[in-house]
Amino acid sequence: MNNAPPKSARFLLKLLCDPHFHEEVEGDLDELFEHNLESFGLKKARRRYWGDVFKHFNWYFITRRNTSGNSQNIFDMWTNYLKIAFRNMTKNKGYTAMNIMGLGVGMACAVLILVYSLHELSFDRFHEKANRTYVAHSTFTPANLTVSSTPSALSPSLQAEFPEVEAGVRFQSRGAFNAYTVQYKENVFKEVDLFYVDSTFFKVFSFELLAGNPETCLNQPYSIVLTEEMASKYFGQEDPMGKVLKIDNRRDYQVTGVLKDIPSNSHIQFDFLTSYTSLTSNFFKIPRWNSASFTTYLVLKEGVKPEDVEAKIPDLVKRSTDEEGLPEYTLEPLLDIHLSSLGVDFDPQPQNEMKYLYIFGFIGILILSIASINYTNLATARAVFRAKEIGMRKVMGAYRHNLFYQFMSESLLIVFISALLAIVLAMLTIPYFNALADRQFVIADLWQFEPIAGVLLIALFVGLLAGIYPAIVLSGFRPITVLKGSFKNSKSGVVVRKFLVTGQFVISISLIIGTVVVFEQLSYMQNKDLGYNNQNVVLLPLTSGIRKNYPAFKAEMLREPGVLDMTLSSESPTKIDAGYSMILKDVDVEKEVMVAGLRTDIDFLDAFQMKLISGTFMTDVDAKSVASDLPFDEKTFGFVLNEQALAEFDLSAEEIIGKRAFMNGRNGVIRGVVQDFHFESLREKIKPMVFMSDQDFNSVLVRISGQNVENTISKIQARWRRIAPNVPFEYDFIENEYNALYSAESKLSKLFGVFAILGIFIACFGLLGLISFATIQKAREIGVRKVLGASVSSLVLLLNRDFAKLVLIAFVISVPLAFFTMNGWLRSFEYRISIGFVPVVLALLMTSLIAFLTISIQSMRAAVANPVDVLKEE
Amino acid sequence: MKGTYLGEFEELILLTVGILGEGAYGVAIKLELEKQANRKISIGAVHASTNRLEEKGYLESEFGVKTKERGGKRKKYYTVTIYGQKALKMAMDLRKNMWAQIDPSAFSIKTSF
Repeated sequence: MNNAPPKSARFLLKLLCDPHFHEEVEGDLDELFEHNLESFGLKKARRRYWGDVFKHFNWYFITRRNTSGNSQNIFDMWTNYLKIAFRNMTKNKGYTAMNIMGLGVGMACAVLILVYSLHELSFDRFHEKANRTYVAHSTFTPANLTVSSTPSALSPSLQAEFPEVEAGVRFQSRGAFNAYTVQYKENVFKEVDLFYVDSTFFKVFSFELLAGNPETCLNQPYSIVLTEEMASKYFGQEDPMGKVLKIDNRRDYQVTGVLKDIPSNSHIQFDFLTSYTSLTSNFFKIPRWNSASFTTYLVLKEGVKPEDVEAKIPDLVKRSTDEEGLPEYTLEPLLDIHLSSLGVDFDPQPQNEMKYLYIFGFIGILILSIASINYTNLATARAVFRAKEIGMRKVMGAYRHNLFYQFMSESLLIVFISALLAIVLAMLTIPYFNALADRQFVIADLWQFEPIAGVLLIALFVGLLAGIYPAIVLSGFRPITVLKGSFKNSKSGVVVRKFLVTGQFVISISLIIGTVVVFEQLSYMQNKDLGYNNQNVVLLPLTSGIRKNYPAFKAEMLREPGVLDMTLSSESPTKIDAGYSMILKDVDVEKEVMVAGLRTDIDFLDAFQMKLISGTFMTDVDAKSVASDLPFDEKTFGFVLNEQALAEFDLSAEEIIGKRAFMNGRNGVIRGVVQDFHFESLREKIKPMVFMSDQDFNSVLVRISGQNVENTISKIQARWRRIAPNVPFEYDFIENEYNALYSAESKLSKLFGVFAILGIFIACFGLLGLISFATIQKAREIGVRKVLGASVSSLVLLLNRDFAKLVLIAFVISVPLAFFTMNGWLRSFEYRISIGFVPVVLALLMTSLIAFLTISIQSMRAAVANPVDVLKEE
Repeated sequence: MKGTYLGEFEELILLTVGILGEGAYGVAIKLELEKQANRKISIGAVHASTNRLEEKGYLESEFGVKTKERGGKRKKYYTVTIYGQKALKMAMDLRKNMWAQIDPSAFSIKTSF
């Protein structure tokens, strides 16, 4: 029927209007509609109908009324629950504030941890083909060493031979120790994050290009693609496209693309990409199997299993090269890179470990449970004050489930208010959290769907969990008992409360012990005697200008009063690369040992104050031979082993010195043995290592005296300027580099510290609530005791005794717990402390001090009160 | 006394119901009042008022018989209760009383009942 009122309006009316009025209203509206239809026509009549429907949507018509006497008036009841909840909250402001503060702080921690974890888990997922992209690894079998450096032939061969491989890209960089000098007009900077990549880069990764064509921008030699940030650093407001950057004062590169800044959740961080075709030496041009300085990423076709590809690689390698001793190649999913413990070499951003995410999450749960326990405890402890209300409600006909819902809704109300506070707190503390977690979150990161949904879910969960026990207990009161007037809390409630308080302190004490242990291990690692002196050593990059004039430069530098010694090396002694193999000659059975290798000049031993055990360090003879014009394989290199390498060859120092050895194309003689020193983090056992007199250096290391450091540095800088005027002066201290190896641990120690303090803080809130409640309950007892002559101190003792017992019990439980857990953590370090008494004593002192201060304030107040005030009322 | 207060619109509704006698239901009240007061009145306002007046006890209601009109929905007929009549009378008396106290010379228009 066409001439009818709009159906949707009718439906809406039926949906919203109280059924009580519905028939009258709809009838009248229909009649009016007919009336309007005749006078004004269909269109206007319908419009009026809609208007009238809307005019009925006021509180009066929408509010449901009881039509029959026997159905519950749910709405009114809930309004009443809410009203009572708010009245209770405002009546006990201190108690409410404590609850909301505790829960708010706990949930703020949880939100921040959530945001952090989501960010960590989102790494590299923005690439379109992320789930079928892999990074290739090489595993050297005898040393069982896995690195992400692969030969330059790997990617082209796989793409050519395997139809399963959709695309592949190689990365090549000189590494952090050998920065590029990039220049545009007067803007000159040192840049580390510059990579040579294949033109297929954008077939593998989905980084967003703001300008330029992803298909072609890396095709031509001397093309460069840079990020927005770099574009404005070099070109300011100018359009970067087509501009020319000079790199290393040699080559001009034309800008062919501008990238949107690399998202923080990308494990690859870079500023510049240049075309692989710009690398013109044969070493790069011809794909080789005997090179290993390229990072290879591959995209496999849909549905291809990486294992199947891996299995076919050895065969391919055998067909393509006669090279011996090549590693095994494996594929690691791109999405695993960030959270697997194996970081990618060239990656400047510290990778994370799943382990630390779990620790974060676990600590978050602990803090939340401390806060929830507060609510549970305080709510049950305060049940006495609600007992009459419960009794009355039951007498008036409330069922147990009504009361259960009432108390559940109260806890949810408190928790949701706390959730609001938590979001505010999280917003305020984001900068501090960033410092702690080494990330750059902004407030906008909080207002995403996941964190907000997360907060609501956490709130719901905490509200239900914290509220369920009080709701069960309170709704179970018998009306007769509570209304008779002599109602006291049941014994079982007291036991549960004590149990929960103990639980809180177990968590807090364990966190404190954990903090102290992590801190001790960290300071052990930072202060351990490493076998060399890493204090006051400045690391400078070696430039070609300085390389040419090195003897003169050194002589000049040593004339500076602050400069003590100076040496050259391939890398800093905090990160010596493994991956050499040494074969010893002049013995009955030739033996090959995998070693780490460092190229240094002859002054290195003295500059780092290392100890020689036997023989000599490399000598002038070696240096001369290496510097001579002889072909590479006819030179004689000097080798110096560490004790571990000596042990691997299973010879005595006397036996090995003077023997000839062969190491990755270098023939040489073993000159001596040095004492072991730590050239990696203390997580790792000291590995076999060899110094060699090869002169392919990258770094200048200058030992300076500890006095007047700034002055000395500025003098070094002045000298530097004279010799290398167009190279920016950038330096670092070896000690800082060494400490950077422990950034994860130092993060963890800060984190543990903060959470331990928060945990104690929240637990003390709960304790304060409980003790103030206990003193109210015992007020008369205290009064009577006082009248009978008890002293203030004995009364304080009486009140504190119960809680002291709980803290002690918590202590007894948490010490073995923390010992066990922290020993597990310590086992990941090859060199570690043993947990002594310090953490335990410290935890005991801190906890007891804070707990006793908290409760004593309350108990003192009760104990000094005038007994008349409490006794006069009866 | 709470409950005896009568708003202007409520008073008009009560009077309209009185005028209409047997046939006072929603639409009829709206149309009659529109005619009497010469102003537009929304059916929603009528419903809100009649129902509120019923809650206060000034009106009582009864559903009519089901007919084919109005899609089978019954009309709800209102009548003014004794209490409602009293309230109307009180409102009128109040006004009369107050009018009587106005000095006729103070008003320039003719004011007499």
